Amino acid sequence: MRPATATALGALWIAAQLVIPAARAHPSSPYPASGRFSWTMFAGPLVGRCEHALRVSLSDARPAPMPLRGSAMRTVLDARAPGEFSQAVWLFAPYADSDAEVAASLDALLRRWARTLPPGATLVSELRCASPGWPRFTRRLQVRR
Amino acid sequence: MTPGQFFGAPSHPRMARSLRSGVGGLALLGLLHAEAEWTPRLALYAVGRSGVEAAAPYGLWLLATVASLGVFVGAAPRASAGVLCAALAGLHALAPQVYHNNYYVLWLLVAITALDGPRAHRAPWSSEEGEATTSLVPRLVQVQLALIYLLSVLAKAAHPWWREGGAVVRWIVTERVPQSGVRGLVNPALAPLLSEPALAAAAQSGIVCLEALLPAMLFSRRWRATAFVAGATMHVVMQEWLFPQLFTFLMLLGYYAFAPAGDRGWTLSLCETRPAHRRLARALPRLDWLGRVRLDLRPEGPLRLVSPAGLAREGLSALWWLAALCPPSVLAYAAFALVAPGVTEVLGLPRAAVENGVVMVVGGIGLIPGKRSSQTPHGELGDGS
Repeated sequence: MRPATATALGALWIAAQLVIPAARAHPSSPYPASGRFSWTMFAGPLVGRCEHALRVSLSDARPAPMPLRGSAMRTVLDARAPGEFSQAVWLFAPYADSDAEVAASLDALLRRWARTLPPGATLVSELRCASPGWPRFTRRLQVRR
Repeated sequence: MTPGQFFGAPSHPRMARSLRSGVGGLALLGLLHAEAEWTPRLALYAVGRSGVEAAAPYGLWLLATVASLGVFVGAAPRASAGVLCAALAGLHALAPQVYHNNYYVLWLLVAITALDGPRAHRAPWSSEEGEATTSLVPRLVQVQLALIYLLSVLAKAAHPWWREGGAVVRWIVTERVPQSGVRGLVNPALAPLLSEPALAAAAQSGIVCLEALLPAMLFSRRWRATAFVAGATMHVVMQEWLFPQLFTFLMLLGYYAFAPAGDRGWTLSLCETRPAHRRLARALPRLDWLGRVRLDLRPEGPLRLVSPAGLAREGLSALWWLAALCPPSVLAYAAFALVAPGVTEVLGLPRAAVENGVVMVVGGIGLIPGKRSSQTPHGELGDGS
């Protein structure tokens, strides 16, 4: 490789490395640096400290079929208190930058899981987040099969 | 030094080959270790998707594993590195929940090895030497290490929790590690000390200061040897305490980019009548990827390693320093920590505790001081140019 090419590529490499974290920075947020594409443990935003209330009902009042105990999906569905939920967040929304991002990933997962339920099933999920440093965040999802 | 002189500096071909095979080997180990983390996440990805859609990430994972083997052994290495980068990027685009910063570091280092170097690979364990040419690989690995430390300091400085003196360290020792279920030896030893606010604040500031200083120290000839010891110690302590896994080994491998290559500055004296010494003499060319060691076979005498500065070490201490000179030792450490992630007990003891114990014993050997030798020094430790 010619030295001039090496220098140009080296400069581009450094520029890209600086642009990526800068593009993901949120200067107005309580946590300006994103955890994703970051190089330190425990330096992303603290998110996912949420209470999750989930109800699944079938049209004929039978109990809804749940995933096997110990499976990843069951771990997510059973995570109701903030401590359990914030650990389960790592399974479906690692490095999320806000509670809204956690909620969006959870919604996508629950909508896909609802497709596996029998016709007529209704899923209602209520998320109430109080992550340190953030304003309170709530969202309600209802999916009918 | 101008940017042109820095990036355009010639480098011994062993350096790029060693970094490339080292990164390939770590990619292979990391992708095998990913099983523990990725299997539940990919199970979630598969919920409500068709069979083909659900299988696609596994196909990319397999492709990445095969490509990493290609990078390691040197089969079409630049193409293999390109395929590995593409497979990892595709996997993360398809199933973002498998993203981890460790794999991002891996991706960057693989991309660096794909940027430059010979397309037809000679493995670092081949005996061919080649001539020094301009190579981006070692320089970019050096720059990447420096950026990782500096951006890490910036991220910590921006985080309210890290600005609260000692809060993160106290949380780690009192909540994070005990709740994680990891039964190692390091946290119980550190917890009584680091749960004290003043000591936790000092430890937290110490970590940030060291990370801020390491890039300058690594690029300075005068401080490079100190930076090797301080940085490697920091990563090994973090590994044994918090188990960041692949990140530790990628960083340790990156330190070799600052070392000389092909200097044969260290002299290993072996006794040609002893079978174990003869075996080591035969294995040396396959282990000494950077070409740091000159072999000196003698009719009698102990196993002895003399540094470029004339410090001599014998027996186990000599073997320890020989291992420190050879990048495959990072692969061996990584294999010890990463292989079979499902195994949590070894001989009835927690795996984390066994790893801690072995690393403490092996690390202790490195503390045995050397003696001044009468042999002539051949080179210089930490000359990375």
